[in-house]
Amino acid sequence: MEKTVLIVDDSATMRQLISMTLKNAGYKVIEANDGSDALTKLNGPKINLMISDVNMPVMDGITLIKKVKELPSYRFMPIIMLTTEAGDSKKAEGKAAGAKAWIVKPFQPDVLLSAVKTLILP
Amino acid sequence: MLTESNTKTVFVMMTPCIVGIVTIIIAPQMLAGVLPLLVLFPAAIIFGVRSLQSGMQQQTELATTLGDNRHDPDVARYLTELGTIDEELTAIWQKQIDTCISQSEQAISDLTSRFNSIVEKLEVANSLSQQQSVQGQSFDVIDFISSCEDALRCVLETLKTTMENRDSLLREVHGLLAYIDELKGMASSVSKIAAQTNLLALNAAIEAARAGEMGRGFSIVADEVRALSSKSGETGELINKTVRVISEAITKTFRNAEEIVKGDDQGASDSRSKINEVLDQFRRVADSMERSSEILRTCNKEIQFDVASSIVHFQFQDRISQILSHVQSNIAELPHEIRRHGANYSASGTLPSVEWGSLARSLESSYATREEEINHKGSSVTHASGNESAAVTFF
Repeated sequence: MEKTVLIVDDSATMRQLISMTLKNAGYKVIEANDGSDALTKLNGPKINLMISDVNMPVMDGITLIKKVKELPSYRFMPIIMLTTEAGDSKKAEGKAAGAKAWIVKPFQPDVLLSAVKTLILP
Repeated sequence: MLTESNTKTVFVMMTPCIVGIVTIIIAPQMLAGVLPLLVLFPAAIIFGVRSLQSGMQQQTELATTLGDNRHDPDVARYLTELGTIDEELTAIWQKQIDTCISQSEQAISDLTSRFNSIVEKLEVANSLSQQQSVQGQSFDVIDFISSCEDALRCVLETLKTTMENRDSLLREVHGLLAYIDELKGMASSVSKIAAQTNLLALNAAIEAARAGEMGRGFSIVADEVRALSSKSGETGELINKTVRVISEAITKTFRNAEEIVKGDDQGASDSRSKINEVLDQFRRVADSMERSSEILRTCNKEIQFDVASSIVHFQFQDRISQILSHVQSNIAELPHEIRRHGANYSASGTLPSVEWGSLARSLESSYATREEEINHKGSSVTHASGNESAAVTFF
């Protein structure tokens, strides 16, 4: 069955590039502009994995993860943080909030796909 | 008091600051309009930031100079005006940076979209070049040629088997001619036996006549034997004629069959030759297609590599937007700092020491990229740092 990935990034370019990478690999993709938009999208069709930026307007990525972990149906959904933030303190924040992987931008398509394949639940 | 000399000094000292910020603003426009100037963009940003730093340093020196003119209303007015101008200017600078960010984002987003469309079309073209669709079912052309080759080989095998069966049949028909000769011999024997029996019956009739009344019965038997031998002779002759007719028919049939075999052999040979010719053509087409497919596969791999590289390079826009946003936020703090100086001077008649460092620290705390940190520490970076993207940190 086709897996669905939610992409959360305030940059339209980044959303398109991630979307292109995943679609070419056979994943279905849903896009959100920020954390708040992502929470709205989680009320729609079932999502299997989320890729989120950290620094975003309205609601940042770390807050988003915390809120997602409060949703009963998405408590165990794997989350990948894709961000320009490379510092250890930010990574620690992401880990504490419940992220499963951290990738620093600019991402390599094969690296991102490998992380998605590793984490997405069957 | 603010003298003419001081005003000129202020103007001269503010110039690098303004040049710095204007350079930061126009750098992305250079990027959006003229892609070949891409390499100039980071240099322009660095030049701008350094000019801004130089301007800030000179402003600090100016503030110290002005600090000597305690309670001077002109200085207070100047500081108020400077704060207002800065506020208005920074608003304009921010709008310009906003425009640059949104224009570059829109342009790169459109470019990415078109790039994506090209990649999708290439995928379709690549897929179609290797597969054809007939009535909704896709199949591989090379497989199709290969199956045609197999089918034609089967035809050749069937033809060969049919001809072998025919040859076997002809051999059996030819074997019948040997039996015809035996039949002829048997018919001849029957005729000879009949002739002998007739002669024997004739002698018996003579002997019966010589015996007189006593041989009358024997004479009747001799007549019957002669009549029987006559019929046997006729039957032998009839068998002989029939065997001859059959023999001629078989011989004629065999000769006709031999003629047909010669024709069949020629036809089969021609068919085999034509089929092999078609098979050779199929093989050549299949080989050619295989070579084309190999070239396409190689091209496809190269395209996929280029696409992956392009996806990495397209992400520069996101980094630039973030760096500019950080600079933009920092610029917004400038009027507050100048207003603070004005208010302090009005209240106490003294100018506090200028703390550009706090603005720099504020800017530093907003950094998200390695290159921002490296730039801040004094080295310059012209490329996005990509080492971090080589791996994933799993938690």
